[in-house]
Amino acid sequence: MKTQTTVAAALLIAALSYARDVRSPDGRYAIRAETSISLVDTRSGEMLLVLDKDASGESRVEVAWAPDSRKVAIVEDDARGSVVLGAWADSPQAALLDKAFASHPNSPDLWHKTVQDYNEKGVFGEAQRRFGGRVVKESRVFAGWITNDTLRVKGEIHLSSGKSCAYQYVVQFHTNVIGHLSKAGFEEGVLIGRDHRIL
Amino acid sequence: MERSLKIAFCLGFLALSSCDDDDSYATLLGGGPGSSDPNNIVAGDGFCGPQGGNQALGPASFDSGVTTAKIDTDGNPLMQGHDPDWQAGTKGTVNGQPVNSAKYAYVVMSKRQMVLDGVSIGDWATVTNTATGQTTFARVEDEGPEGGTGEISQLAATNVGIQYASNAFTIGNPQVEVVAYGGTASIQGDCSRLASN
Repeated sequence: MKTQTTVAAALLIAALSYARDVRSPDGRYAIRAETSISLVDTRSGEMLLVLDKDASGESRVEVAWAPDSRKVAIVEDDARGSVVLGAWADSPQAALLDKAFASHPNSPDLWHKTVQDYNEKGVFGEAQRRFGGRVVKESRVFAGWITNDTLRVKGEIHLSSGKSCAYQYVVQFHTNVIGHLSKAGFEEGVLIGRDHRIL
Repeated sequence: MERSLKIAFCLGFLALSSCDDDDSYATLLGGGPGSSDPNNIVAGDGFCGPQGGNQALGPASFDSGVTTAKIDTDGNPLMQGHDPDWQAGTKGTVNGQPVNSAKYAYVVMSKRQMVLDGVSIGDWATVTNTATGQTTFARVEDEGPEGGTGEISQLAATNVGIQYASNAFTIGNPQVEVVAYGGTASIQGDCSRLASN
């Protein structure tokens, strides 16, 4: 467990005016944050996925690679809201099957992208009941990998009543689920938040 | 001309309450000329509608469904101290400045929804008052919290007949439908229909 949490690579990027790479623990891949956020193959330099085509102006981007280098989670924070993005590599067996259909057949792994489902409705509702008003601002930070699939997240909710509260939850990759493909190519239903609680 | 003056009159009151629009002058039109391209702004306020109208926008990328309207007054310096949620800036800009809520019809989307559906700041959108059918063009110009839908600027609210108090709380429980069109930010505004009305 200690190893798993300590090898997670994370970077906070305050401004995206120049490219910054956050490499996976094995060095094979990197998340490149510039005006867009993408996954690149560090050997070939090839861009494998675009996770956010317009990340300009985000106040903060945090990248957390899973210890096994097969999954990566990214939180983007803006002035009023945040989003948790994710990408994962197929298992070697699945990758073999999928390679014929891959857009980058020379890449050793087939990568997918996802966005965390909106699972905060319950905790937002509880905060609104307890503190009044409606949610006008929220932000999130990563708090370490628990396993190769599961990551702890901490968040802050600001309400129109002027009050705010902290909360936490865990987010888990369910890569064996066949997700619904969004218009922008994200597989929904794969990255799920659970066990939300107000701190 | 008369209608242009009517719009200017309403804006003069900072749109703190909705204009009494009984002849749908704003239907499918924003305010006046404008564009979210910071280097190509023509004189006037608002975004009007896209060149080529609805047909130019193609299929919708995002549809909020029927949701409760909320007023975002960000970018309107005169709302500081009135709206408890007010912020000076907006994610989008016009001529390098925040997009003034009282002067531009804009909508707010969560980052998650924008990423999922391929919608970017500056893309065109429509706002429909589901009770009256009044519709206005708008642009996506700000990002809001996760799960938030139906957040619209003061001018967008006024254009579809939604009234609100000086603290930006809506009067009654107005329902709107927000539809956004990804990849349309580069389509310029067209105000000729506004002038001809």
